[in-house]
Amino acid sequence: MAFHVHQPFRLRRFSVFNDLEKPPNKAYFDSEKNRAIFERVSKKCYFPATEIIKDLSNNGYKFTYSITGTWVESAKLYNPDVLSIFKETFDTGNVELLGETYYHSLSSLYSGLEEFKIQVKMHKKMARREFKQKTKTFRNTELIYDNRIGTEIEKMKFKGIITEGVDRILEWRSPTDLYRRVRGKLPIMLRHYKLSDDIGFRFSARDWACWPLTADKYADWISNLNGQYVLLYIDYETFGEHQWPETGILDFLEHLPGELEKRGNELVTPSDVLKKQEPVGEYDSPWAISWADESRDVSTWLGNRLQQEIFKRIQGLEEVVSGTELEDTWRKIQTADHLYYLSTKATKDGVIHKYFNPYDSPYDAFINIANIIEDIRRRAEKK
Amino acid sequence: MRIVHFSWEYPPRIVGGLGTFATEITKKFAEKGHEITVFTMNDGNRFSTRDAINGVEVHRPLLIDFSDMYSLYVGEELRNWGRGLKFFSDIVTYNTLSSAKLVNDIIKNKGKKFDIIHSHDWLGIYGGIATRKETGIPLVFHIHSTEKGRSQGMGSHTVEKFEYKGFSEADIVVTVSNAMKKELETLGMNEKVEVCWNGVDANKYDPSKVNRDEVSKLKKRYGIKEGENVILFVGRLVGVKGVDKLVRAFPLVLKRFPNTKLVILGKGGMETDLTNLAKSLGIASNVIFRFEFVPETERIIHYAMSDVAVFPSLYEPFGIVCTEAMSMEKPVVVGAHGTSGMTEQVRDSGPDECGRYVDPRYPEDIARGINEILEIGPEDRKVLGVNGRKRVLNYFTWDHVYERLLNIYKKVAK
Repeated sequence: MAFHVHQPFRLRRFSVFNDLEKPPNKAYFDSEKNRAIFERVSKKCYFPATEIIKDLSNNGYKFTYSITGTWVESAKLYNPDVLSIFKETFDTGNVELLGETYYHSLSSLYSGLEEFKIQVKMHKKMARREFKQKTKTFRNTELIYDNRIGTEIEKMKFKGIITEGVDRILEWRSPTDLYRRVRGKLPIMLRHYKLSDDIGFRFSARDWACWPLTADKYADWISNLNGQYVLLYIDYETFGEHQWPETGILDFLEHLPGELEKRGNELVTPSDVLKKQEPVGEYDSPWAISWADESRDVSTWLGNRLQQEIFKRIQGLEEVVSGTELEDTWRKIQTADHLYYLSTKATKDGVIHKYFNPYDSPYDAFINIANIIEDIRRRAEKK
Repeated sequence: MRIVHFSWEYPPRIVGGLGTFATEITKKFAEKGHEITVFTMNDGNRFSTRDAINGVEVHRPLLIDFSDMYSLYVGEELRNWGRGLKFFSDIVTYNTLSSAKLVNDIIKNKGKKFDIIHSHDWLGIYGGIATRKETGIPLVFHIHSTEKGRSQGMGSHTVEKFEYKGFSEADIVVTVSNAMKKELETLGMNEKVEVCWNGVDANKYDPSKVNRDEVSKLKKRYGIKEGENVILFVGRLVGVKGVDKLVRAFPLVLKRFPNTKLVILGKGGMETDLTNLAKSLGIASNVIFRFEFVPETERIIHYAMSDVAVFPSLYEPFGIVCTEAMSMEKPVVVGAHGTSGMTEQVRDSGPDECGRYVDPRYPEDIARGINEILEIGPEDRKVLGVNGRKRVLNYFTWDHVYERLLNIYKKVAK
């Protein structure tokens, strides 16, 4: 079981009339809103869920976290106690931390990969400093993967990479086996999206045929599967935030490991799987895939012209800000959430997008971030 | 060896460095007794479908326009190409028809054998990959420039995908300079990349063969007086060539050397901008624009007329104009920021000194480079020029390119 832990630095409504003289981080980021959201999620999810995981891992069950650099910075700013309980959980020795980009960015999709490599290294450093963890398994932002990323991650000496088990690539094959990148050695571990989404999206859906989902029922499903492993990869906020405690989600989390064990299953980390198992075939992805939306591609962030335009403008700042003190600010703008807010998808996925979006419309979001990008450029060029 | 090229430009239609390279290298290989076949694009269906040029067999399948259909199913990024989608369609059609004819007719039906498929840039990789898959013939992917570099980061994701796919599928990748090899590394392409410099025909670009009367005539045409310094720029008039920065640098040259003319030779989107820029800087009477694509013989006279050639490119995988100027014994001032193959041609100190490196982002630095060359006087300039030609004869002739490329072919040929 792996949990995705992340917070972006949400942007303020930046005004070109009032904010030109403020220091950049004050001018761009909405510290009040970021604090309020962090506090809310801490209370509802980070504290109660992590207490459960800590107890379970003290009893020998193994878990996996992916934690972004921006989340760690937020925790330090808004609630250091949260960070402490995570550290204690890692200290049990039964929890693996995954490698990723520090800023939860889409830098793996830039024309060049230099920025991506820098951010992966920054995260590696952070993991060692904050959690005393040496990251060995990689998971990219939003599980984005293509052959080029696989090649680069192999070169960076990770032992494996996690991405989505996409039906159109797997065809008849199963997401419960290890695969290997095309023309290479890097093992690829796949997220079981059906079982992961049963918890993440459907847990409390009363119109779902399988409602209510109980730990023993779910453990039965998993026990009936064949293969080398089952990877459940879930947004951590599912536990108490997206699914409220009243739904029984935290009890589910607490009891699932025991129910799995009763049926002869073992909770392991990705590194355990990679050590014991061999890939069974190739996983070929010339175009980028991800875990998002029904299309499982990158259209969630780059699907419309607003998003593509901002994406290019952000890349275009690289040379301007490089070596200046605006580098960190620029990288915080690269966090994928900012492009997500520009999505114009209006289907089933649109409902989910709305839930996460602080803006009234994608157009508001576009204007705001475009203004901020231009202001960063202005400041950088002034120097 | 029997080699088949996919080169979208080929005489009589040449657009840039890729076309020059394909023309010269196929000619050289044919001269040395190799069997060379070229598939090229029949732009506007104006050319014959079969041809023999310099002993090279040329195929130009007739195109039809599929672009209306493409817009129905390609992704948003390609649809945004607008009318450029016709170009994309033509490229794919040219590649499709060429590889189909090559595989089904020439190879499978007529039984002709090939040792190497040589695809030039993304424009020729589509057919190369399919041919390799169908026949198992080793594929050489020659990257003359990248989408990221050409567009300064604002390029097409689809084209970048073509390039990466070409890199993945090819048996070996050839690029034009060590600087490009480094750039390819940043794009995630870093195994199996070999460097093969471009070349120049040193017999054609030979200062001793220039008719002095032609030079005087050209000077007269431009109103350049004897004793005036001539700074020359040759190239496409686009931002990435740094020509606007050169015009901005020129007032700083004039301040030191008032008797100087800047000649700008080439075509491109910046023609009006450059004219206005020269006016607003008050140097219009010292800048001579010639917005034309002149034939090679006339270009050679331009080099002969100049005292220093300046190429302040922000991105230049190789820079064949620089080699031409060196071959003509002219000192050169070249951009040395980012990807610049010219830094491998030019030495700015030591026994081979033949020019100056400048940071093309800053007009002040371009002016510094030019002024340093003008300061040393005609005698020493001559020495730099002779050194430059020596380097060309030692490293940058088509015979050198031939030897190098043949060795690369041998690494993958069966």
